[in-house]
This record gives sequence, structure tokens and C-alpha cells, in this order.
Amino acid sequence: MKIQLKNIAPHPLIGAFSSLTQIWEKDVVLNTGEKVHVLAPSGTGKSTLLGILYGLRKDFNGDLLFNQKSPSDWSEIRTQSISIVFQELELLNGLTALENIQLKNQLTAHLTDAEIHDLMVKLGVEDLKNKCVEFLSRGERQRIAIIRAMCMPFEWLLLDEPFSALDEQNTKAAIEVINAMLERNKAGLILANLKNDDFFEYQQKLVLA
Amino acid sequence: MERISVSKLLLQGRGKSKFFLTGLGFLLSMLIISVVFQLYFDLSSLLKTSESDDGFTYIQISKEVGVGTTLGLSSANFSSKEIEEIKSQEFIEDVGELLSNDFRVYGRFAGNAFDMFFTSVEDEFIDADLKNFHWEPGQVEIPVIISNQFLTILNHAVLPSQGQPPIPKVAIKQATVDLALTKDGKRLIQKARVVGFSDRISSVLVPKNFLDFANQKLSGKTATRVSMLILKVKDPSSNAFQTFLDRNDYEVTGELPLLDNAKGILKIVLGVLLVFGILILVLSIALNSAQFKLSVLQNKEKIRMLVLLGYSPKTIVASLVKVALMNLSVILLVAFLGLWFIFQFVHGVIENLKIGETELSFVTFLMPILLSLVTLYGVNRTLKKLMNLSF
Repeated sequence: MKIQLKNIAPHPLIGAFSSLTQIWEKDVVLNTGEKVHVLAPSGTGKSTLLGILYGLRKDFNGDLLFNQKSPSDWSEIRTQSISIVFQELELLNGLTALENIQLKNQLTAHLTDAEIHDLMVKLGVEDLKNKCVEFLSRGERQRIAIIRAMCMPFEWLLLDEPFSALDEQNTKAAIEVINAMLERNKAGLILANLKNDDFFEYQQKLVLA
Repeated sequence: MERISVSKLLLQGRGKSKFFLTGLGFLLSMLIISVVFQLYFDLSSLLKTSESDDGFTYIQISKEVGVGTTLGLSSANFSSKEIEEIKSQEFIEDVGELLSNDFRVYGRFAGNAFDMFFTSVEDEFIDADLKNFHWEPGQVEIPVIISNQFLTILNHAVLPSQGQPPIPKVAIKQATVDLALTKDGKRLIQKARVVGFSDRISSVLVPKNFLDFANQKLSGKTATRVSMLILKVKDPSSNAFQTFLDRNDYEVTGELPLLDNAKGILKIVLGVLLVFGILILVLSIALNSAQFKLSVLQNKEKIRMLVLLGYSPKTIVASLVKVALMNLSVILLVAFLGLWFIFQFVHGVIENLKIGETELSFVTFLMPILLSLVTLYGVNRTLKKLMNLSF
């Protein structure tokens, strides 16, 4: 799925972004299967951009096109085309780690129980599956959110500072899991971060300013 | 892996007592409304006797006879002005004038002589078979319709007191009475045969053209006195009608208005019950919708997260409506059982009192289903509106 951002400017940022920006009020094309890095210092609209791409924000000028068309059915897009790991993770308190993953997977039936178990083992959270997420550390919750994002046949994966609370070993494991899923789905990735990184082999690097 | 129920997730923390009270309120309102309908049908069938097939009630009235009437200060007859006034009342559909004979009638039957009287009224006011109720000039035998009340008095009071057996209707129709109609030395000899019986009119009816002929022949005039009227009314239990009768000192023959009065009072009681039932229903629907609304608001964060994961607001509403549907099904089942038992009880009472037959109306069972559908629609609409506003 090709993503086009045509002259997009979020209302709260109009007049506030600098001429160095490569996204706001520009024509940007993100091709199928590309890995895109968005360098976004604090306050430049990193989460706003991902919110626009995930249909959470409608307060912007310009056009967002998926395969030349304006997106309409966001529920379908969120179960078929675009998956996301939020900066705030957005896990449901009161549910266990496994239930949080299951809540997404029962909607898409994308992964088998064995595959979910396998991913939890790979990310070292298998022992935590029956614990309520509010009792987990941020790093553990981040890994649960990553596994949950894998539970659909996405064409694009949006990552908002996905490894901010992970150590090197867990980051490496998470990257492996994500790469494998990108490969399996022939999908693209947009990773937004506060600084430059080499987590993936990016085809495009864009700056938000 | 076991599925996580979205509705369970969203109704977490919803008090069981609140749900029970809402359900109870809904059940009660359903029962009240259905029972009111059933009672209405029962009463209609039990009290139907006061109404004719055409949906109107026919009431015979006369003027109250007081001392003034006896002294000749006022007349017991209706003047044409009074008849016009009665006709002009909006609650009176039509008026039939019961015309009387202006001559003396002597009857003789089986050796007994007695005085008689005749009245006539337009055919449309007579509730008897009119097949043989015709008279042609020159015809000696006059067809007569008598009141069923007369027959009852004859068979159950007069004849037993004389040690004679009662006479069936068939036998009465076979007998002829010799008549002598006289006035001022003029005389007409006729015969009379009973051809029908009336519940509505307490009199002896003869064809109008015969009475006109006899009055003309014997007293020289056809415009005879009108001492009784038959009123065709839609609602005899209406206040306006009763007040009109009382104000003019008009007396009602028979007890029909009493029945209608009772029916009127019962209708009011049922009306009050119905309003009460509807009030409880509206309150429980509002309470039910409010509880679902509250659940949505309390779980707004959860719903937001479900929407983020790709759950459509439509699916979320559907899962909540499904819960409402299941709850309503249980309430409906209990309501049906309750209605069945209530009907059995009422039916038993009516049977014991031997006041008539009652049938379980399908409307009684249709009402709870209808009310449930309305509630379900209300819940669905409230939630959809809320979802559209929130997400």
C-alpha cells in the first residue's frame, strides 16, 4: 500500500514548524515495503504524524492518501493494513498480558496460540502472560505492546519510540521479531524517534522540524 | 484460547442490584400494561350485551311523572320542541318517537278480557325480526311485537299465580287475540298476533301505518302523543348524556345505563392503570438506557482502546445490545409465565362468578414483545448516538 502525504499541516502546528521539515506541507510518498525513519525532536509533531497515519487525528489540512484514495473505514485499516506500537503503549489495565494480546488477535485471527507463545518466549515475557499489565515494568509492557502489534496482517507498521525502555538484548530480540513479521507480511515500517538510530535498514529518512 | 467478551469487559463494575431493579421495573410495567389490555378485552366481552351490533346503545326514556303531571300542570308527553332539543344534542345519534294510540284497546283471549295499549316506532329502532311485521289496509290480523320483559313477567309472575303453566314463545306466536278499538262511539274490530319479541323496547309495538290508520279512523288525527323515546347513543356512560337526562327529569327504562356506567368507571380505572404502567415502562426504559450509557461513559477509556485496536463502534454497540437482548429475553419469559398465571386466576374468578366467558387475547402476549422491541431500539439508538459523539 502506497502512502501519500500531500501538503499536510496539523492545525496546532500551523506556523510553528520550521522550513527544515521534510513532512509538514510537503508532498511525501512512502512506497510499499519501505522502511522509513522519522527523526522528530520533541514538540515537532512525531506522535501527531503517527496519529494522522492511524486515523486518530482529523485536525489537519492537506490530503492523506492510501493507494491514491482517502481512507474511510478505519476499523478495517486497523485490522488489515496498519498496525502500531504507541509511545504510551495503550494496554488495557485489568487484563493480563496475554489477554491484551488476545484482545487484538481475536479480532484478526492472524496468529495461532502457538505463534503468540513463541513470540512471548522470544521477547522473554512468557512468564508474565498471566500477570495484569499494570503490574509490569515499562520495558515488559513495551514488549507486550510489540507482540500485540504483530497480531494482524499489516502492510505498514508504525512504531513510536518502540524501544525506549528496552535494554540492548531485548531491543535486538524485538527487532528480530519485527523484521521477521515485516518479511512475512511484505510490509513497510515507519519508526519515529527523537534521535537517529540504526535499528533497521531504512530506505528513507525524514526529518520533522 | 478463550475469547475475551467485549460486553463483559465494558459492563465490569455494573452493580447487580441495579440491574435487578431495572429488570424488575421493566417486568412490572410489562405485566401491568398487558394485564390492562387483557382486562379491557375481558370487560368488553362481558359487558358487550349493552351494545347493539351497530356499536350504538339504544335507550328508552320517558318523562318522570310527578304531582304536577297528575294535576295536569305539566305533560308526560314529549313536545316536538323537546324532541328537537334532544335530537340536537351531539352525544345523541338519532331519536325514535314511540307513538301511542289515541283510542281505547280491549283485548280478549281465552275468555279473559283486558285493556291494552299500542305504540309504534320507525322500523330501524326495533331489535326484532321484522319479516312478518307488516300491515296492509283491510288486513284484520295486526302483527305485534312485545317486550321480552312482558313475557318474563307473564311466565314467571302472572301465570304461576293463577296456577297455570308458562307459555313458550312458539305457542304465543300461534295464538291470536281478539281486539276491539273504540273511541267516541266509533269501533274497529281486529285481531292481533305476536310476531316477535324485543329486548330494547318495553311496550307493545304495532306497524306504524296501522297505528296512523287507527288513530285517524277513531280520533280523527294522526299526530298522536309521544310519551316515550328511543335514543340511539354512542356512549351512554358519558357525563354529558347522564347530566342531560338528569337535568330534564327524563327516566330511563331498564338497567342498561347502569351497566354502561360500571363499564365507564372500569374504563377509567383501566385507563389510570395503563397510564401508571406506561409511566413505569418509560422510567425503566430510561433507567435501562441510562445504565448502558453510564457503562459506556465509565468505560470510555476501554472503548477508546478497543477502537484503537480496530474494534468498530458498531461492533461494540452490537455486543452491548446483545446483552440487552439476552436480559430482555429472560424478562419476557418471566412476563409470559406471569401473564399466564394471572389469566388463569382471573379466568377462574369469572368462571366462579358465572358472569361470562373470557379468552386470552393475543394482544396480551404481543404487548411484552412489542415493548421489548421498543426498549431494544431505544438502547441501540442511545448507544449509537453516544458512540458517534465520542469516537
